[in-house]
Amino acid sequence: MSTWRLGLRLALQANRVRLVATSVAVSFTVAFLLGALGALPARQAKLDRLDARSTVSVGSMASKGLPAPAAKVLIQSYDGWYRDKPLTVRLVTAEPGSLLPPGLRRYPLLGEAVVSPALAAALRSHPDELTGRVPGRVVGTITEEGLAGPHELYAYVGMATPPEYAQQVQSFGSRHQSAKAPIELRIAAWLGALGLLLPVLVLVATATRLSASSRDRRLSALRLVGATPRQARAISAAEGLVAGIAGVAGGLGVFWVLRGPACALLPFPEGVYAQDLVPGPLSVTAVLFGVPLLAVVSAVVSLRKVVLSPLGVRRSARVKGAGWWRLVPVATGLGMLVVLRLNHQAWPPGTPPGTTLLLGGGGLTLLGLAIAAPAMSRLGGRLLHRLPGVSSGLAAARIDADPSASARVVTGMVLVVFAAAWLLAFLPILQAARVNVDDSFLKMVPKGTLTASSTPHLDLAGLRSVPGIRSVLPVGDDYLTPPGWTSDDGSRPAELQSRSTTIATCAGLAALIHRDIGCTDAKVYRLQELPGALRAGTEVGVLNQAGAVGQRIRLPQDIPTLKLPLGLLNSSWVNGELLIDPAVLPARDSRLIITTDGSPGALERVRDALPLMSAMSASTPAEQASGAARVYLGYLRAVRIGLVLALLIGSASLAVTTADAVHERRRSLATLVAFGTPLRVLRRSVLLQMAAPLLTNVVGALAAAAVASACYLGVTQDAWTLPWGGWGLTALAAVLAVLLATAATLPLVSAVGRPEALRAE
Amino acid sequence: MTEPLLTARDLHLSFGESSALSGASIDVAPGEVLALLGPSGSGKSTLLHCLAGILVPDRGEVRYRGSRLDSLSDDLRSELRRGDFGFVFQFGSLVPELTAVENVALPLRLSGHKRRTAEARALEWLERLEVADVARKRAGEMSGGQGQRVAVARALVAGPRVVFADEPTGALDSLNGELVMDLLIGAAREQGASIVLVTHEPRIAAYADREVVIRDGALAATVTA
Repeated sequence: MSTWRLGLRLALQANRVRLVATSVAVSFTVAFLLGALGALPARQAKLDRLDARSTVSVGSMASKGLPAPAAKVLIQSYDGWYRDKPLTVRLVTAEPGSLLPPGLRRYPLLGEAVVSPALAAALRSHPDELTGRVPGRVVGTITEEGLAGPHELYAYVGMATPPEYAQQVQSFGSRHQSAKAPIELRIAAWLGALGLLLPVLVLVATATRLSASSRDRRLSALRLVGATPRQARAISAAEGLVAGIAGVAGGLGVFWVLRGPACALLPFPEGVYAQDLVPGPLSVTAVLFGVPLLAVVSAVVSLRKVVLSPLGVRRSARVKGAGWWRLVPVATGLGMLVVLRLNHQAWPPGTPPGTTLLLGGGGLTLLGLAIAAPAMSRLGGRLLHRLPGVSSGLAAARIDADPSASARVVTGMVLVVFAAAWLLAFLPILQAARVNVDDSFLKMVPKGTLTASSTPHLDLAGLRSVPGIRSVLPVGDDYLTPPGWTSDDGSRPAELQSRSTTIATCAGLAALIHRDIGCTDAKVYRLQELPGALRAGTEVGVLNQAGAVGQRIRLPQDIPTLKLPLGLLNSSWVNGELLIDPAVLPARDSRLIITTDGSPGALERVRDALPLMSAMSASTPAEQASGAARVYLGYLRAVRIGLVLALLIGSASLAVTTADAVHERRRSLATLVAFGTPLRVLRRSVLLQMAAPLLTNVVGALAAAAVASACYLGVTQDAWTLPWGGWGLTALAAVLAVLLATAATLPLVSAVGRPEALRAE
Repeated sequence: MTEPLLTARDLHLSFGESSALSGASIDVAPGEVLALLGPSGSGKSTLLHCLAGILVPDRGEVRYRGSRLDSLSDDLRSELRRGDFGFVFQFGSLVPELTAVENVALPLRLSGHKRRTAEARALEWLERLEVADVARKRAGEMSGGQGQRVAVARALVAGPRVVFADEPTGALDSLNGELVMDLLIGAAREQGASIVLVTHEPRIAAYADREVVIRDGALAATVTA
């Protein structure tokens, strides 16, 4: 007969509560795995959606000899903001029968608009804030195919005549190639993700090995009636398989049900459509087969070095030592990272030695922490042994008797701490790489201050009458040429390059930021000293739009220097060498700095009062930064959510393992109680038995993370700091999670520790 | 004299420092009911386990039908336990998750019988041992006496030549104990199977054809009925 079939029947007929509990645990881990594996395809789906509606202009295709479509469609896109969310408006002029972008059934005509559902809702709830930017009657909504996500604010607005910079569309969709992140970033991200996913795999393995004592009874009974060791192992493996398959089936269901809400956890501001959160076929196949396989392997491995005798089941292996050699792999891993740090200029990441050291060092450190866990647990036991009290003595003795058993329980959590610490350290790189707005500038600018490009004939008086507006400061830029500058030579020395200049009143700028910046009623101020500076008293030329010298002005004999606060110079407000009052030099291409009362309504009403191009360009410094900040904050949130989930899963795993261990030790616990040991002492010893190895391992993990992060950041960044605060919180969260999970099992100590249990045995 | 079915010669077995068997020798004839008696720790259960091939002695030999048992591989000894040997222990040793009929059918299924056939034969044995009414119950849902009768059925279902019973009534009251013994002895004799019975109760030992007293890991006396 098929031993596997018997095993399957045993699993199905055996303790169904256990099977259900195991399957539920595996289900949630499978759902978590599928969600994590679906995040990258979701990002790709979003890129595909963006690409599908991107325009390919007739001009760009002309060189390839493609004829322009017979029915013309011209589109001009504007990207702006609405209540901290990106807003895109596409002005459209289309002939009947012209090519449609995805998500649109027809183009809006003059006076019409087709908008995304999220924008339609915004228009309904705040009609006075958007009608300037999304003019016309809403005649339809853009369907999902034409949107990046459910929360995206997107509009097609019909125009009678093409906008000034509109492009004639040849086709939609450029079939982009998604750009890959740098190798070191990908390696770091994968290591972090792996660390967070490990507890999930640990739970799968743990869940399928529950109730070792009842399993032992079953296996010895089977051996007694003649099952060979191989058959007994196959039966055990089949049981694991059932739990794995049931867990995968349940996990698919849980994922299917929860993936909608899970989309909200992904770091994309425009949201993710549930149907986009689908792991790739390879990932699904890996989970479908990998989890049951893991369950089978775990069941088989759990019987390794176990003698399955008809008289009972016993472990043949001696309790493993926890020698200090176990620290060698983690030390080697860290050593490799240190070597990389010392030689990163010769072997940068991306070169074979650099990548090998980074990947090998990081991976070995992660693996090494798991290997080192028994040694660190033993250290915890020894420290515990020094404490007075019976409970600490009992706990220390238990740890010392089998440090590997203690380590097995806490390893998942320790790896979570390391992975989270690692991710927290390298995530700011994303921010540093993408945020170009100085933090100090963001802090300086009052809330509700907009910077907008100006347009000719703008009605400033009308703008100032918008409710909630406080001030409007026009700011311009001009390019000045130093003496000796000539326009007929393309190879001018650096000191003869034209110099940008900010045209604004000094008092106006000072009033904006409510600070004394050193204004002295002068008309020209020096902002910064540059080589070959525009000298006082000299005549300079002003470049016109054609790049030729137009107007000439003489600089004053005395040019005071402004002491601008850090962050203001070279910001979107002030840049260049000089600050010149508009009375001295009229501005061109000017922008507006508009202050409001800071309310979202006032900001949006101001935007809506501006001409479309200015309105769409109007943004607060926070919004200018937020595109990048959102990415960083999104990833940070994803890491936090991953950390919380990993801690929850790790805690669940730990709780069931602890409960099972307590149940297995019920005889010795009952004996101790029979001898007169108070239950509270036993409960405390169980808690300490968990806490001591955890603390030493967590400290070890944080130390390893500090060294690894310092090396990694030292290789990739010029300036960096280690997030000690975040690490402390992570460690605290892990320790609390473990203690709470252990505390949850303490009532079991009281239940199984009754002396009557000795008779029942 | 009939050729012995089981023979043990000069068996020695120690668990660490403690010696469990020290030169035990014994023969079991076909169809014979043999009781091993002795005080706790005398080595009678260890001897039974060695005779059944569950334990392998440190020294000495065990022969079953003339062939060395103690040098067989674990797989071959497992095969013997499936077909030629049956077991009844103090606590039924039933697989807790299986029903009575599935427990009884287990040796047959492990030997390759189809489930339907195996369970049909198992049910016959349960009827014979008057526990057919608990056929679909699990071990935890039966009384001790019922559990032991199910264990007896499981020991006999494959038609063994030897049944090893280690304190089979140890956890039962006297009435249930006698009922189980009556059924075990009756069914075994009907099949022509030998029984090796470990007990410390003279009342139970009285069912045997021969009683052997074990003391300090060796035979101390033999009483023939």
